[in-house]
Amino acid sequence: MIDHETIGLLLKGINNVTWQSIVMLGVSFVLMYLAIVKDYEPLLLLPIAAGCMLANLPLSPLIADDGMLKLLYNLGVTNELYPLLVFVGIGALTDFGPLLENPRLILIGAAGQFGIFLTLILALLIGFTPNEAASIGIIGAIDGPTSIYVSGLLAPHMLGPITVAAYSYMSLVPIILPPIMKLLTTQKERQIHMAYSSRKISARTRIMFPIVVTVLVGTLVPFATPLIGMLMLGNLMKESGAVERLTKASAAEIANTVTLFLGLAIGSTMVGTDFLKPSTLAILVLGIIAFAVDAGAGILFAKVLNWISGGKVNPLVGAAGISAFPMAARVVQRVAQEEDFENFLLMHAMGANAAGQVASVVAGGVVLALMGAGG
Amino acid sequence: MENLAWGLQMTVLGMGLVFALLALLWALLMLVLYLDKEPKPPMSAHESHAEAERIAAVADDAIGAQVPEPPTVNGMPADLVAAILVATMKHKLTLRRQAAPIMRTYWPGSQLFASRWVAAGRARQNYTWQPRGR
Amino acid sequence: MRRYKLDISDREFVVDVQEIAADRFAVVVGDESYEVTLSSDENLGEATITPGFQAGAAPRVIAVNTAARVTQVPAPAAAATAPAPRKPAAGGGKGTLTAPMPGVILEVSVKPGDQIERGQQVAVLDAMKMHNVIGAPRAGTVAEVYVTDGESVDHGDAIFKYMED
Repeated sequence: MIDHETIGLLLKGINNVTWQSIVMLGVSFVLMYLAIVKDYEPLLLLPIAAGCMLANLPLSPLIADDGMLKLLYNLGVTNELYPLLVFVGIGALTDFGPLLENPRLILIGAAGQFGIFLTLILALLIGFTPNEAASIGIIGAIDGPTSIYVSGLLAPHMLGPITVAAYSYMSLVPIILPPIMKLLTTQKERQIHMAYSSRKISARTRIMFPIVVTVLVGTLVPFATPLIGMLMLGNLMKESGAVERLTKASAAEIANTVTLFLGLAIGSTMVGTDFLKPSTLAILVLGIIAFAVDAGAGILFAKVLNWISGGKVNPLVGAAGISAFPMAARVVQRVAQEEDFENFLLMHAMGANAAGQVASVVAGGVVLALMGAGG
Repeated sequence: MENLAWGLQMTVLGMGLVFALLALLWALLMLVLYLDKEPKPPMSAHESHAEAERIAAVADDAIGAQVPEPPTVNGMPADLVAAILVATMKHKLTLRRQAAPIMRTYWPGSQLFASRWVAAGRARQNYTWQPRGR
Repeated sequence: MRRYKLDISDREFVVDVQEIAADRFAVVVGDESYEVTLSSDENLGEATITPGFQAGAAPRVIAVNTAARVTQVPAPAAAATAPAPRKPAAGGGKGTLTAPMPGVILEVSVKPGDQIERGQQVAVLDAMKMHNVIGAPRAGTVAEVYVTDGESVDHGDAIFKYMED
């Protein structure tokens, strides 16, 4: 009755445990710890961790051909559906008012994309192919959906590590950003107050903004049309106030559902045997360099603006020029208030942050255009 | 090194494009904001001063003429007193309806106060139960 | 404790009443608390309160209970319609702390009469979904507080005023 074969079948799970899968289970536990105990972007990290755990259990049926995680992956990651749907939600949540009140902040958002290109060069030097290097650089957009979108088109085989890097650095913004900000600014600069211009933005302008941006960016950078189009669609629905139910659904139900699917699908790409490679480590390191350079470039650019304007721009605002809306702006406000409790940079930082959001999408489109892919 | 040259080219081109696009966006935004601005006739400092004076004069008149001192009772605003009174009375009535024990100003059996019920009962005790004329 | 809401001359009052004893009540109106002793409660028959009965200068008509019918007299326009200007104009003025950005006041931590230190938390302002602690710009005594929990403020709206030294 009980022969070797039966015992083999009963112990199939244990026999198929590999060291890679054990390591990846450990990684998933760390991610869960970060999500649950440390509360870093739990909405994303927890599904990613769960997907990673489920995918790395021995012989996991979930990532077999018709497994659920595999299905979720094919449903929306390979064809860019998830990131675009998430962007509708982000658009519906983003308030571009602070940016409209202070349009020159939009240049800070442009400066905050410098890390993308510097990292691209670094990745090339290490030996990645141009496509891979561009995908790694896009981590510097510090914007999960953009990273997924671009790397999905340019280097689908590296989607897992790139997404993990992008999202984990996004969730680590409150930890990574302050030291960079403190290193690059003097105490005196951090204490610069910025006058709040309470310029009233009419509803008409607020509605015009997403339309103008979509048409302009879509015409000039067709590769960015999907991303900017969805982002601005969400914003248009929000600002028009005409489709409150759709806005609510995009910002809450759809975004939440897609985030769950996305997290699980991304987590499931972190299968030990593919994931534990030197290139993953290189991606993670390059990603954090991209992040740091982005923030640094934003701060330095804000310093230039400060110099031009005669001491009216607090360089800390430049750090919000990376994407990661709205965490980066909150971090800026917190650091500024640590220095001087009467200093309220939040609205300026939010403006720069919203600009960074638009700029990272534009940068993603530009990268795709220069690589001649996508569309 | 060919890669490096390509990367540098990408950087210069990419950043240039990003900046150029966003600068264009900036210009367009300024245009939208400019077009959407509420038309406001320009006003010289002198005119604005006169305007301010005029408004201030009206405001001064208004303060003197139209807004009377709020009525007070012993230094407290009358409406406040009314509010407090109504609230307390209402509260007292509520408590009475609930027969809350705290409503007993005097404890049961007190000789200082008697409810109608108790008073009637006490009065009955004073009547003789014997028929009249016996 | 019970909460009563009353409208007096189109102004809404929220009054909290807590009984202390039979005729003693703790009453909270706005941010002020009063101890009220109801010393007399007499029935004056079916007397009605007439508009001619005035305590102060302005004809302010108060309905004390539903039994007393009140006829509203045409009052001078300014007194009857204009609600009391509770808020100073934007910018506030001397000794006033104003909101640094638009948002919603989540919590007011001071009340009139409080002694505050420089940097002490005065209010928590929720702007762009971020909780911002607003600190006192200097030490002093709070004279008036102009905001309440849950009130939305614009940039430059007064939050509180210092007592004149």
